[in-house]
Amino acid sequence: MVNWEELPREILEFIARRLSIEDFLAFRGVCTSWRSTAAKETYDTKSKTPWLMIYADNQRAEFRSPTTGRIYPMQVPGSHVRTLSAPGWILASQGDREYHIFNPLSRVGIELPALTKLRRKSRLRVQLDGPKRLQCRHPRINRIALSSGPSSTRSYVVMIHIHQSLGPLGFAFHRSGEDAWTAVSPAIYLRRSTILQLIYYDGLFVALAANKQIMTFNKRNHLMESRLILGQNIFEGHPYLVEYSGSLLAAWTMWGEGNGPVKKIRVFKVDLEKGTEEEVMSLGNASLFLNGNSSFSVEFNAESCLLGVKRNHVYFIDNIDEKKKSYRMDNGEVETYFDATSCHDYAAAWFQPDFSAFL
Amino acid sequence: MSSPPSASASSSPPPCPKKMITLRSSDGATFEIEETAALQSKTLENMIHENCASTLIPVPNITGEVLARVVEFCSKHAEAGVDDESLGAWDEEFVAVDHTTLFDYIRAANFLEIPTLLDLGCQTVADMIKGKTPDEIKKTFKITTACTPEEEEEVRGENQWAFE
Repeated sequence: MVNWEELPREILEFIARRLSIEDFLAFRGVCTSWRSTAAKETYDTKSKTPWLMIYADNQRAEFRSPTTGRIYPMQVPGSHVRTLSAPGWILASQGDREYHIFNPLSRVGIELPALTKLRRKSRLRVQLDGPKRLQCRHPRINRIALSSGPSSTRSYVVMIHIHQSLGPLGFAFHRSGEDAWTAVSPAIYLRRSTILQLIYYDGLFVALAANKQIMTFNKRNHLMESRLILGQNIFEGHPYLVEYSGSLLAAWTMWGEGNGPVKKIRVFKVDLEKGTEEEVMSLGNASLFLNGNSSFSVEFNAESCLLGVKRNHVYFIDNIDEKKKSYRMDNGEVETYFDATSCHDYAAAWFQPDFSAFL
Repeated sequence: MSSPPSASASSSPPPCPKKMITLRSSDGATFEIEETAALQSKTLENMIHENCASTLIPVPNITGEVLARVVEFCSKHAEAGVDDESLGAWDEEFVAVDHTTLFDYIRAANFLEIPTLLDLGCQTVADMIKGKTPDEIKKTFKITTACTPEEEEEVRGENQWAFE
């Protein structure tokens, strides 16, 4: 008679690593020995089928788990919700004020400083002479990125791009533990540019402006520096910045004639050092999930649990017909992945649930 | 028959396809396996290189019944010209066994360090866990111990989001 409780630790770890979040948590509830082999930190959300956030309003968000088909309603601190690049975290805001970074599974939340607490640090002077209030009316966060998910062992940096009633204001950042934002001095020619994408990649905050310029944030002198201009050949598409296997990609969803649904996606690998871009024809054993605020990639390997996800595909949300679709890189086929046209369209986003949130 | 020596110094000679190795199980049964198939096991690979003169390798932790099937698995996976789909179907049939046997396969794969068999075994167990509550999992695997009361409390907290 076999005793499954006494399987060697490393085997139980192997098994646990292959489980979706619901099954991983059930595994942790079986018995003490199984629980000890499935530590929260070992759950790798990046190798699991993402959830879909399908609703966000009235301080509530609903997430759909594709593996079980179940929908999980969760309370969130705000009615406007965006997913963040740090897996498991969302940004919730109540009417453009009171922004919270929040993990809906662990229900850990962090309130961000009010946008009116914005300091400008002069490049020329070393000493700040008191926080200077910038004149801005109704500031709101247009784009946001985190250097990492909040945890008790690590500090993190939040970078945002602020819009106000008169248009784009500029970038600012905040380090965990600080009580205000520090403004970033943009180059003059960027001052009024709409920022389409802002992500954290390879230790850098990378932004993409509407004029297709890619900039990175220089931590030392607090300036945004231009690196290259993208997509010279692409005129009718929406760009997404996403990390894939250590590289930075720019994926363009190109809409059809007469602004019809997306008919093609082109992907380019961006080299920040050289200031070049190169088209990518295949994602190999990986797939991309594109979100307005935070796109990500998943990789297929022996331990991944990617049911329902196909490799070498790009999963996106078509803003024209609100459907969640997949695009096959090798032959350009577009298929509907999930048709929930009743979703609030700004709420729809791919989400990677993660509960290992410590404060 | 030995192949000509290669220009660069390599520590292991290329395997001769027809060379047979004999494995002896814990209960004394012997099984022949081609060297190329045996190399799927890192443990056997090391033993072969250390013990190049002898072709009889004792495998004390594994019974004849299980070893026979492991040999079958390695031989199938070393076969040339098998497409992924049919190999996948073959694997599925291979693990369509009772829990005791599956458990033995996993332990054998772990001891002999056969990554493909270990992956297959663990994935099969993961599939058996899929969609079950902790109690259902305990029933499936006949586990009689439980979590401590403190752990149970933590489990409730961890799963609260699913029941809001």
